[in-house]
Amino acid sequence: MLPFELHLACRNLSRHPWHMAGMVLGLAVAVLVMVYIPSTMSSFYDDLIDRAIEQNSAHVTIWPKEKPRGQLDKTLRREAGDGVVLALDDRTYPRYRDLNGQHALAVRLAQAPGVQAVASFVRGSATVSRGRVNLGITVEGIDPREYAHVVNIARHFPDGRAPKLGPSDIAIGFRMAQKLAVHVDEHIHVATAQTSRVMRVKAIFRSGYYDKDIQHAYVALSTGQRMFAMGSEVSALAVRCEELNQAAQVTAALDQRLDHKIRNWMDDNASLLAEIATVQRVTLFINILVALVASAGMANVFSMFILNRQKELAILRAMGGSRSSLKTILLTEAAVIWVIGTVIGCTIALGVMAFEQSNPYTVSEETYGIGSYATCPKLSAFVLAGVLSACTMGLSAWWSGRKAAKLDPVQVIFGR
Amino acid sequence: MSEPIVSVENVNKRYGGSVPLQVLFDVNLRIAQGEVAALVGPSGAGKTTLLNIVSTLDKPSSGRVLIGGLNIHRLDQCHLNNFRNRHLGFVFQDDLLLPHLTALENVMLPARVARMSGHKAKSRAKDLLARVGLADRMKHCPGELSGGQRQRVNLARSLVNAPSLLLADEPTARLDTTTGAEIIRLLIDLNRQLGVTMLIVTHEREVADQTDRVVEFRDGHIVADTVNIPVAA
Ligand SMILES: Nc1ncnc2c1ncn2[C@@H]1O[C@H](COP(=O)(O)OP(=O)(O)OP(=O)(O)O)[C@@H](O)[C@H]1O
Ligand SMILES: [Mg+2]
Repeated sequence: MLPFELHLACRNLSRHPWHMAGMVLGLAVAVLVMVYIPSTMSSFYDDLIDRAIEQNSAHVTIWPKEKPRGQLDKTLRREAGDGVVLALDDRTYPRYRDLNGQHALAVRLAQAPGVQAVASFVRGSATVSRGRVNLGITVEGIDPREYAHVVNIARHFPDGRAPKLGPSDIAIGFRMAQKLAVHVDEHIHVATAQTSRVMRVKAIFRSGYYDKDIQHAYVALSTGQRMFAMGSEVSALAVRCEELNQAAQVTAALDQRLDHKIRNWMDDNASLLAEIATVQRVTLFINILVALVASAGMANVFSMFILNRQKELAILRAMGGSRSSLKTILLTEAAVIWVIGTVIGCTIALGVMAFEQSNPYTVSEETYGIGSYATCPKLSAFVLAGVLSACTMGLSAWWSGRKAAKLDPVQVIFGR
Repeated sequence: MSEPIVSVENVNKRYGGSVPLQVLFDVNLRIAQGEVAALVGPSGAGKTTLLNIVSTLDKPSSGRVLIGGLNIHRLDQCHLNNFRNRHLGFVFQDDLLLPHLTALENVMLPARVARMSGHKAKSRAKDLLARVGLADRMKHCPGELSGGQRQRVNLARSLVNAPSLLLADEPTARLDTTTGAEIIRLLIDLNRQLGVTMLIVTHEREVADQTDRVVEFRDGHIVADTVNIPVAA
């Protein structure tokens, strides 16, 4: 047989179904809000992160260390003699920012713990022109297959695969294509400081980033090296970690072993991360606010519930029921309401999210780069909502329990 | 007179508030083990006040109350709860049953509060309900019982932990004369069967006449204390 406290709690709840339904409903709504808002926020930011990191930047990038200007000058002087320094400066300077010995470095990197894949790339500025349209762009020379293991660019291409790029092929963003009024297999003129050539548009991609779609182009690695007169050197090595959140550790480990400039996605996306952190704080604040308002409401309803039962509680006290017994009864009632309300709130939230998944919102692709968007259930949001709603019920039961425990049986029973 | 189970010694009760009021003046009262005493007197005499003090629900302003030799107002809250639960039974003017529990569950409640096993509590409660003549109404809730039946349930409930002292405050006030008389007869019967000491507050002379002893109260003083000569059966 149940302890009498549990027995009484269950009886009380089943005897006041409307009261109970009201409290359950109130809690369910609070839980729904507490689950839905953070889930929406974090789904949205997961999408953003996915686009920013998974599809558009390496977890870690190894750049050559920039040589201090004074040292660079000395080197240049030694190589070219005093007179030609100024003339050479502009054309030679980039050479000293390139990465050499990248093959050996890539092998070392690939063996480092936490590293999944490595790819080299060259990067430089160029001008594209077609007809009377000229655009300043960034050209990236990659081995598409190798690079696709590091950054998931394959998704940007219409057929879901990174294209094979021949010596005079170029892949450009769709906005650039629109500006140049160029289609696949048509030709554009690409000029760098060192070379100038006509190239065939092999593919057009959509990265989800406005800037990238309008001013980014891929060419083959060797083409890039030729365009920027880099010989066999590259600009940097892109590294993919086994886990996204290992990037910081990998960076730290590589920092100790290499004499290079090492940056990870967190450095590259600092402003996005700061924005996410702010939104998360605001969401937590909203959640706590919801929990507080719900607590106040629940405490009110609960104490009304108790007011109606003052006499019963006083009888229990007169029969020798202790104050903690009264509190146990109220806490049990609160726990039952918590379980039912939380389950209902979470179920409704899941239902809403399932509906969204099958009918995603359409959002401005111009602004967000993603055309549609739906909330995904986030375990953390459910856990947080569960904990906050437990606090809500616990708080209100504790508060009304305190009031009930203070009841003077004589006053209640004899109305004095 | 055998060893008193209740011993009220120089009890005074004053109420503060805007108009301070003294309700009990140096009350001394001893009730022997197994005795049934009636407390009578006009309205406002302080009968309920005294009963509440003996029942530990209220505290005297001065003086002390011993029950079974124990100074009850010296007990801490925890022991007091326990004491009330195991040694005292209450019957109030209103039946004060829990409306959502059946008669059986209501009777079992003090035993469950005392953490008696469910099985034992149930058999005791059934036995008591049978004694008060409600064997066939155990599954009914208070709302489905008459006033007299509810008062009987109340009586059974007050006895389920086999208390040494039963305190009843006008148990018949809300009942018609016949039903009231029945309840009193039941109380006396239970006293004879179980040996429970009883202190009954009443307005009604007929009720008082059936007890062993009548203590008369007026303005917070005991003005008469008479032993009833048992009417030969
Ligand atoms: N909490 C209180 N504060 C002030 N005065 C009180 C309080 N409780 C009772 N009294 C007063 O104490 C006096 C005795 O009250 P009590 O209830 O004991 O009378 P009683 O003999 O039981 O009367 P009745 O037969 O009408 O029930 C009354 O005058 C009442 O007004
Ligand atoms: Mg009274």
